[in-house]
Amino acid sequence: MKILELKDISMDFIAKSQLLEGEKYYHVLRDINLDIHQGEIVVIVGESGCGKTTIGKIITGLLKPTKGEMLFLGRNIYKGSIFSKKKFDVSEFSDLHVKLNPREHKAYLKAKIKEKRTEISERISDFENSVQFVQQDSYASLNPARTIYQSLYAPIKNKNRKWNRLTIDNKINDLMALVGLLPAEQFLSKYPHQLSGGQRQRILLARAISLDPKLVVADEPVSMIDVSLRLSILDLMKRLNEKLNLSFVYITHDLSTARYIGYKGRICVMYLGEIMELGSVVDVISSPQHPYTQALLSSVPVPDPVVSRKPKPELIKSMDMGDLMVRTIGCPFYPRCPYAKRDCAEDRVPFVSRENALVRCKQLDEVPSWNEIS
Amino acid sequence: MNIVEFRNVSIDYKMKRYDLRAVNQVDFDLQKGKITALVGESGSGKTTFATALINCISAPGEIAFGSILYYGKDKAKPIDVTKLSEKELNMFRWSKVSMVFQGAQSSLNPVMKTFDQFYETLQVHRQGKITLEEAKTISTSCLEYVNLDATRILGSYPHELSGGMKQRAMIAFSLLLDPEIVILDEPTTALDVINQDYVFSILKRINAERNITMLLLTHDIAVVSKYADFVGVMYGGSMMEYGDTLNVFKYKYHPYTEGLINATPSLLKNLDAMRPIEGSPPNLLEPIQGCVFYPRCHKRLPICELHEPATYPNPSGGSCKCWLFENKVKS
Repeated sequence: MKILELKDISMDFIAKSQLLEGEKYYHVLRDINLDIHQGEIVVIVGESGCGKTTIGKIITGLLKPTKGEMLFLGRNIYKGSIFSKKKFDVSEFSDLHVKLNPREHKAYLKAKIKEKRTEISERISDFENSVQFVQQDSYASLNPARTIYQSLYAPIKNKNRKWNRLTIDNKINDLMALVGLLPAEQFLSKYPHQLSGGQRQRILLARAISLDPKLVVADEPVSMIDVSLRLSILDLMKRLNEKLNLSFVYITHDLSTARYIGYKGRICVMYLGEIMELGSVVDVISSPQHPYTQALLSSVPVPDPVVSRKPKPELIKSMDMGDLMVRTIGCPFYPRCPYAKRDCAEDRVPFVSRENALVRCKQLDEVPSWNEIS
Repeated sequence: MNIVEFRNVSIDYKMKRYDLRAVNQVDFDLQKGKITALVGESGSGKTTFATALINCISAPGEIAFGSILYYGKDKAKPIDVTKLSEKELNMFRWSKVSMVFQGAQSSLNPVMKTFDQFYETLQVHRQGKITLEEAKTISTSCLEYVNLDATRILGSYPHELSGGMKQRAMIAFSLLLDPEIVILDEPTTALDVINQDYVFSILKRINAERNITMLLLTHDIAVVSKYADFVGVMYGGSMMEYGDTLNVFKYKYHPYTEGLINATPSLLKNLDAMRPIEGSPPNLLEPIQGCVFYPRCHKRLPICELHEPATYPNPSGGSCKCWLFENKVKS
């Protein structure tokens, strides 16, 4: 079942306008199409500036895309607004042809609009509760003046107004057990600064799942955690994924952790706001097809001196990432790609299906296979 | 040949009520012309330890005891860095040992053009005996060494440069006075993998061509495996293991080294072989009687809880701070 569908999502940010230059835009995302299924782990990888965090913010509803549709359980999130009357298209109410006198007509419209508003607000609050966000900096994500208990209590109470204290306390205890912070009392009365980074990240995961979401977006959740504890947080995410059938979008620049968490899931490799390769994690990491994915993988150091010291070919032409202000027509990786030909820059590159992955490259026949390179 | 010898160095952070021992009786050598890495998690004391080499530990840290010997031109008369006066230290820093600080992205002065900073440093260290032209030539050659367009960089403010460029500019800055040793504190943490690879290829070249000794501080054991010749593993202020990189990775003598290597996700390793180290890093504010790693160690012995181990040699020529090696090698 598809939980979330991104359809041709584009995102532009206005650049600080310079005098006499007019408006300029950073084209951060361009025509992103991505489906997220129930119980799936989708990994989004790319360098800094490729737009992976922006996708995370769009998925969680923190940013509204400038173009494109986002469907949550098949319903468009951004259709209609509860605030404006004008936006309702009255002709939508198809039974209006029934003859009504003016007063009845007005009452009828009012009722219809109310109905529509409830539908929209339900749709939006349903979406907001079902998609949660875990961010990189666990310290900044928790209110430093509140105890862990207060931080966990507020969202649950907010969603379930009728629950009494005891029910919520039970729920919190269950959550703490689920994320492996036991005994719970020892942590609940503490403030964020009294916990370690790994413990705070567990609290954030507990808070994220406290509203029974369907999807959790985790943006670099382990990059600020000590190496010896990273895997335990990833293990916890894997366990939550299996136990609660919860979908995860894991955003990272670290391909090694991507491989660890998403061995059953899919990976989406991004470059300058576009998806370059999309496929299962195992396939893409063991035999990357796109020249950019190959370059990315070949520069990841492996913790084994015998393997990592073998000389490797140069897979990238220049170190300059493209400019987000200039919108290229063709492949964004073209200026750095060693296999690029002139037609790469000319028109839009479609996705090609190759080795169980969708790859966006015109010169796939020129690109050597991964076995030849590594 | 050793260029620097740390002998029994301890560093304390003097607090109001008690002293926190951030570095605990560490012996450590830097070999000339090699890349030596110090690997450890945050709070393991690697930055504190390395900054002791230029005696600029951030306050309230102080070297409690121990000596740091620097073997300069005259091999017979090493300089003890801990005994230098402030004036001598100022001349020693940067011209003998320079450092690329963590977050090098924000190390450049935001209101000065890059060249002015380079020029200022050169002027101070050469007591004003340098002309503008000379300074330009030196700066340009340093920047070209790290593959930067010197004319552009020298004329721009830090905010006009990208993260990777600033990082490389700082590396060029550290080479300015032609030092013997460069300390690199997490030189690539804010960079993505492709840039990281590129910066390290430049560092490797500097090391090979100019014979500069490097001390690399990192938490990423994968980086160590690729670039370092020797590695010291730090945990809770102690040097747990020291040795040749290939041997350290091959034999994983110390239980902590073994745990750290197993806990690092890799693109090649079997997924089942990767596992985190149980427990959490030590709180140095609490008194520790035995081995710092005792609560998390899977090979612990009864003696580990009560007595701190000494540093013993291990079979492949390195050393381990672990009771398991007490009688293994007779030296």
